[in-house]
Amino acid sequence: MAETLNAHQLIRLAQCLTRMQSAITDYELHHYTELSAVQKLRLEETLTGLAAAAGRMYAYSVQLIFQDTETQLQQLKQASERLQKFLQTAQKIQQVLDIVSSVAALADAIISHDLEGITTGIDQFAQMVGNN
Amino acid sequence: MRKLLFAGLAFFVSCKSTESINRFAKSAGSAIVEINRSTPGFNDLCRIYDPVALSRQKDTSLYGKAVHPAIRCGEYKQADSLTGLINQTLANYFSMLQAVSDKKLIAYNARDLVNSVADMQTAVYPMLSLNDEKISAVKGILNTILNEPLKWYRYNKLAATMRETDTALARVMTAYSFILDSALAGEINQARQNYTSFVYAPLYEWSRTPVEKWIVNQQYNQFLLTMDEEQIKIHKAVILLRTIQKDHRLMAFGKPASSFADTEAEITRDILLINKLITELIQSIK
Repeated sequence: MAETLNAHQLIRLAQCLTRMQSAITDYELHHYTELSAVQKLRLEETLTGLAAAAGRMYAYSVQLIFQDTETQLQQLKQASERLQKFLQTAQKIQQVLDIVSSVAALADAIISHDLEGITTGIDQFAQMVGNN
Repeated sequence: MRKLLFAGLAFFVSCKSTESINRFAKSAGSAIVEINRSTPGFNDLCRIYDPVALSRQKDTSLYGKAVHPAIRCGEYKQADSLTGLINQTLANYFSMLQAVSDKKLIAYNARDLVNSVADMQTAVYPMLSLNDEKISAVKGILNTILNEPLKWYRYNKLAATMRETDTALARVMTAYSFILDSALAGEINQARQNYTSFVYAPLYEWSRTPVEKWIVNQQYNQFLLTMDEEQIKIHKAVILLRTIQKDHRLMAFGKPASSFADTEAEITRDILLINKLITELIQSIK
């Protein structure tokens, strides 16, 4: 027999408490006039206890299932990080290729003595290099 | 020639597959964000439907100012933050898959470079005699040399990542589904039961006339309807998670050469389903 409950067992237990609460509420509704004030108070206390315990169990099961999947979550995070690294490398390659084009355009402007083209080319080139 | 044809086919398949990964990742990412937005939080359920919170609804003291104990929602807040962590990890993963498979990435445009070289030929290399036909050939070669190996490498990187993470993703998706359709659905059932025990039952007993009882029943039915809507949202969210998980597996282990058309057709159908469910979730929270 397992020493501690797992998330699925905890949920089943919580469901049992919810069903007990339902049965007691149903009983109270059907026998309301026959019950004394003290009995009603005790029923209400029991219902409050059951509700609080069941609610906390459902919520606590999230912690248990999370613990079970922490390793896999870590793997997914690492995969995302690797993809991000690749993305950055690919973006760098793209920038290098853009710079090659920019240099060719600048050379073209210099050869053609196009002053405006040279100024624009230098600006573009400086901007691209600055972004790296 | 045969090698060239094979390489061309491989590049074509890789581009097509990368596009499919991109469409899938985009849909999956949106779905994960929408699931987070449309499903209720544990803490919200605690704050509204805890027995202490509900007791305020039947507070008959003057101005309804009876002193109530504080609501303790520690476990619920913890559940929310862990669920948020799972959701965020999945959203980041699909966002990175989408970014890396984006067709704008590594789409080198050789036009500027070739045009510049063509313009230079008159002054520097007249012997090149680059006519339009040659220029387009050079553009094609440059694009092939600069883009295709990177595209192929990118596709392999994406496919390898998806294959490596598929088992982990399946486990995380199963855990997320459990949180939604067991833990959160359990809390909703509990909220329903708490309302019955701590609001409906006392109010029904306190009401004296048939009209009062009718009003109490009306309110109760309205509340049940709200809870049913929450359960429907959870159900849709779980369908979304299962579909995404299945498609991730198809993407990771589908056979591009022989059966990719079938795989892609199934993924396309699923993307439509995912998008339809996302729309329904958005409509349900409006």
